[in-house]
Amino acid sequence: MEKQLLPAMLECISFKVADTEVLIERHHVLSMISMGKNNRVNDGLKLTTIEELLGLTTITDLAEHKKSLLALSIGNGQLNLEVSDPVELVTLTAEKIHPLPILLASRIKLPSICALAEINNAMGIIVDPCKF
Amino acid sequence: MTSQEQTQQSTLEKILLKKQQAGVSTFGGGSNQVVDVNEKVVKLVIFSLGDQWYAFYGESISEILPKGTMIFFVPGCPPSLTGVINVRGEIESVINISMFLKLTESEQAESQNIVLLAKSPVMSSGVSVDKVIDVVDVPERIIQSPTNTLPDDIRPYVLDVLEFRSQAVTVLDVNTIFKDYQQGLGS
Repeated sequence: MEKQLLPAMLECISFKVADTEVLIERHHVLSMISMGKNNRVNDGLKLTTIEELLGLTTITDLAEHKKSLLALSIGNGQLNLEVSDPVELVTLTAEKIHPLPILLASRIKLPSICALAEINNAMGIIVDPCKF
Repeated sequence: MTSQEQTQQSTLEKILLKKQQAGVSTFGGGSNQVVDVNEKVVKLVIFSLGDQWYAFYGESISEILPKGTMIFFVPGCPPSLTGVINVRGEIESVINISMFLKLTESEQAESQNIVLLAKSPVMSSGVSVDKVIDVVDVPERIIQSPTNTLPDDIRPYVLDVLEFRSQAVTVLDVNTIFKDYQQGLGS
């Protein structure tokens, strides 16, 4: 049987939500648009906030923090996700990526959280936008 | 052996014998203890949750993490799952055992939030407790079966009970706690 090699690196888009570092694999991201000072884009566009998807409330004042819009590929569709800046591209080595601990995996209510990652001396969550 | 040595030895033996006959405890007593080195002992990690003392058997605790160990929040978890810790590159969940056992708020005062790294045959996890009282070897004979008067929420998780420093200590079962927690029990 041919031995499958694991990729040594994973490229992700990273941003913060209420002190939690959130990472999305880069291949899901179709585009990123800065929403500018008014935090507005095309009015007709259906937006979803990351806070809504993760069930978090944020005290972030919309007027103070710039936002970005991530267009994410989710299977056959697209999800327009509003996130707070800064949004960064990070490269994670395989040893910085961890599966969910058993008890956490069995109790977590958000199937989109698929792994954990060591980032900036903290633990971040890797989310799969197809499972939001 | 000279007669003087014999006299000295017998005096020592007499003293030891007298103390043993007086029923001096090998554990938890005053300064005049006599230790029976042949007695079977078990290791316990004794900790507090509020004003109650609990313990895990030493074999189920692999580490007591230093105070202030960073716990990282993970969204979507029940309130009793505080987050995750990074123990030298191994990521472990952290359970708030007070919440799991449904202890009341008043019993959770003065917490130092110490995390014990607990393990069962199939999994491991951090367990946050208020304070670690002691890690001790206690004689097996002072350990007793649990009584029927224990609260319903705690009873399934109690292995044994004992008295330590004049305080009741409830020995909890890591395996059952983890198994039930995995199956969705506890808020």
